[in-house]
Amino acid sequence: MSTSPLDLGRPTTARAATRAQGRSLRGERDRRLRRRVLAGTLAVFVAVWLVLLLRLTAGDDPALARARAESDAAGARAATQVLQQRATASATASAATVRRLQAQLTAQRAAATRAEHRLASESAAAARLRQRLRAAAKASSAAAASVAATSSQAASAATPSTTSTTPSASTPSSSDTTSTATTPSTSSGSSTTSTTTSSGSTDTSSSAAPVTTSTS
Amino acid sequence: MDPTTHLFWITSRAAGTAALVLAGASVTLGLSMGGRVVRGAAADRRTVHEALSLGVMAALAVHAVALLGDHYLQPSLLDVTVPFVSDYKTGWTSLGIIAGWATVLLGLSFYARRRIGMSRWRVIHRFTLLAWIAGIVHTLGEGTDAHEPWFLGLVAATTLPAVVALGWRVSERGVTRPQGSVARA
Repeated sequence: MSTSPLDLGRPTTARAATRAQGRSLRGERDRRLRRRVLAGTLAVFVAVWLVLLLRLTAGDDPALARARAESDAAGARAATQVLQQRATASATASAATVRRLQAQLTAQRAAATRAEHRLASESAAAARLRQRLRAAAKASSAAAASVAATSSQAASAATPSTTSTTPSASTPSSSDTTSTATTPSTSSGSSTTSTTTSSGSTDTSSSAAPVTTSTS
Repeated sequence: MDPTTHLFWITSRAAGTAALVLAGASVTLGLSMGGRVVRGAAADRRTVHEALSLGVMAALAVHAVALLGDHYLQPSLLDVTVPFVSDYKTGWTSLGIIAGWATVLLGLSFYARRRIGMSRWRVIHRFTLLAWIAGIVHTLGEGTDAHEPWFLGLVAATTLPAVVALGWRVSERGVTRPQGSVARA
């Protein structure tokens, strides 16, 4: 322990008292400094703690906000996935419906085509039948006209014989020839009857011309 | 939001932040003690430096112990005291644990400096700077508030003075090697 120049000449007890006083002052100052540091430490701790608590209460805590954002993002991803699955299922069902409707449409088009073909063939058959009917009607009219002409000829021929006094006139001569020929028609299926009448009388030959009747 | 369920968590965060602030102040003061940056009141600076170091250790203890009550992480005592045990951000957590233990051991070595030897203790004590840097890296890598402007401002306010003091100390050491004393770190 060295002696300070200021302590030279002082009594030993006085120097010791001065050193003790200095140590006491130093100790007191150190304690005061430690208390200040301790107070500062606690102040920093409490200040930061309050800041964190206020931010937490206000919902601004970075970790919780990040966790909440991640949770929201996960929820959004899950919802999007569900929507995508629903959209995919709906699209699949729609595609199946479209395919089914397309198949139905194709089948209906084919049926319509077949019906058109059938209608066309039936129309052609009906046209042919109408033509045959018209031809038959014409033949029938002609036959009726022929029958009528034959009847009128027969009537006109019968009228002079009833007024004649000679019996030879009413009696057919041996030279009179009446022939009837019937020829079947292959086209219409009806028969054609040809009747040729020849009168051998000379006096009435002017009005008795051969008549050919065709009946269909 | 019910804050009562997160009290341990915010307590741990506040303690870690306080430890970072106090460590910055302590490192700055320690660097100023070793050189000629600040003159006078060496005993006061030593007392404050020592008190700040003890405050850092206490804050680190609260930082670790408070995590034990967090119901979200639910760490065990080994998770918060032994590196590479915790599954939660293992790298950053382990770096913080190593930095914490280094800070505590190097700080407490002050009281065993006579047994260690002054020159040897002075060399060892310089590694406190590495522990402090590791603590900053742990904070920025894992800290919940690491990206908050107020927190970054706080870290900058406590880090920049230490960086300036370190630069001054290194440049001064290049000119003259100061005579160390027991109190100088």
